Amino acid sequence: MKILYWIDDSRDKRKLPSGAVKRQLEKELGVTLCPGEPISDRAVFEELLSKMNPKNTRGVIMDYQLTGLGEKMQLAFGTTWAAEIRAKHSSVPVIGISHCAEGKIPKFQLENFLAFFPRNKLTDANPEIDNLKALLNGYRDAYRAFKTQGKQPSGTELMVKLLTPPAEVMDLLHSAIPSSFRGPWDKETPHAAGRWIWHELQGRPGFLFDELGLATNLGLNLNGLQRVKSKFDAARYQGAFASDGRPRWWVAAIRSIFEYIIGRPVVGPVSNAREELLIAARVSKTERNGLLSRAHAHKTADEIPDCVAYRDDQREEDDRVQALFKDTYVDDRDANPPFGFEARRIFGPGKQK
Amino acid sequence: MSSKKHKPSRVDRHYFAETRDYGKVVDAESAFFRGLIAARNNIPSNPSLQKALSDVTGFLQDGGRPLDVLVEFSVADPHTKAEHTIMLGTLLKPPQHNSHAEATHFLCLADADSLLAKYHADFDFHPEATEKKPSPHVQIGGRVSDSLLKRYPKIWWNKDVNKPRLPALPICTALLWHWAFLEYQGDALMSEFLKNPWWNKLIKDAEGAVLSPFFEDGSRLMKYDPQKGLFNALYVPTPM
Repeated sequence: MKILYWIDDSRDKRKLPSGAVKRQLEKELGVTLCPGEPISDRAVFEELLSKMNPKNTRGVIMDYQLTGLGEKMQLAFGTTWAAEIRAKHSSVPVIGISHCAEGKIPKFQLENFLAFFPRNKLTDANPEIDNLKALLNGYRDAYRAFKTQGKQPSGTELMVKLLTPPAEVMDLLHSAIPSSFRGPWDKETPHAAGRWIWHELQGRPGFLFDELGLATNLGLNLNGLQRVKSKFDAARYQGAFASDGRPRWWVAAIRSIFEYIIGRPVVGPVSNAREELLIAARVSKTERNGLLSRAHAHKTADEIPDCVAYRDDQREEDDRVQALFKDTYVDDRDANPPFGFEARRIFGPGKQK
Repeated sequence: MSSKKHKPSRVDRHYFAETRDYGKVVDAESAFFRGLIAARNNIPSNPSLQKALSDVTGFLQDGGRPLDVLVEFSVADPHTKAEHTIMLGTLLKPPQHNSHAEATHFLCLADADSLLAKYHADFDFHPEATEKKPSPHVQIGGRVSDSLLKRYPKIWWNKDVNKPRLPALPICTALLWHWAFLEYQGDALMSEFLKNPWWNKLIKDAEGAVLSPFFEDGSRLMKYDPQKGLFNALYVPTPM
């Protein structure tokens, strides 16, 4: 069984996964968690690193901020240790955890981790195992792609193999893939490409819908989406780093499926034909009204929401609403998204665009 | 059984129906922007153009979305040598359950602080509109978007005057830009577009998609239905 290293400084053992959560992590990831107790000193980390066998290692979970190390109770940053692990064993994915919010960690430090979890998302009941598994498997696939690239390597081809996009979006995706991934890959590229796939491609609106985005596109609320979701399986993102806990659908593939389901072409937004979609899904007339999307802060359902927006400028991913484009704005932090991606919008009258 | 196919009458449909088909407008715009993105690395340097190409990707993935593109170029007036900015805009609004589709293309000319001239070309997709308009048409002056008003508080026309509207050739983003490039072909950047084979291929394709159906309908009308009148047919007929 492979090892998943959990490197934590914690002076409080309760911060490590234990009991049922630990068993669940080990069983579903097929790993043994190691070393099983907090690391109290840098020397212990160095010893662990020297003994680490990448062939037998599934990955590393690393605390971002290691406090109370050694006799002098010093502070160390997990980002530094993560960089050391990756320098020595580039095939090993390193994933971060912390008590502090991701937004408060400097970007250059985050970049040393493939992705980042708030600690409680992995240690409390019902940990986000799907996402953790997707990251570990995704990185394994990206690293394999690097190791097996041919004599005339094309990073673009590797990315297309990893992403398996539908034909409709291939040309746009080619333009959106950052230039640093288009040439031959080196041992650092799987990490950078993995971060791009996880954070940009799957994290930003543009090429993929998340559940709320797909529901809004279809003119439904999240309950409505549950009734029709399976019909859009062919549009589901199945490439590297795909996660059941973070489902995504290719934007470019939705319309043709929608039109096939209702049996006619739709001019304009497919949400104009949302009732037909529910009829095709055999949803009874009495239920339909409760499954349609409603524009946030509007009392009637006369206008169909046409975008997803953060409820306020705190920009919490878990606090987004279906809104009318005209009721939202883009703030300066997101005014210039990378090519092919869309600015995330915020509900509010402050800076209407 | 006879294999003779039914030959459709040349006069059994509205003229210019294809020209006023919003789906065809979307197809023409999509083809142009996809071609432009494919040639992205060869495009003469212009920041607003690069941003526009990024902005259109949502529309290219789902033609049911609106399209709002504005590019601008600095040019010198060929006669006075005065520095001007030309803005080329495309606005497509798909039909919603309570509104008709809109398609507008415009060219706006500005100096440092004023809007000097504006020409916009519209399709009219609203057959029941109380005010009849030719579709497609070109209008001089007219409304100005809030974002342009903020940048240029001074406007050299009365923006409340919407008449007259001139019956015109149908236009699309490719042809609007090409028109502007031809007007300012003395400009180095514009002429760089004009001499590029990939650009001329995009224009040929756009003319085929947008102008061919228009001229075919016009010539069919003149040949088989002249009593109807070409100008009459350019005004959107009210459904029977």
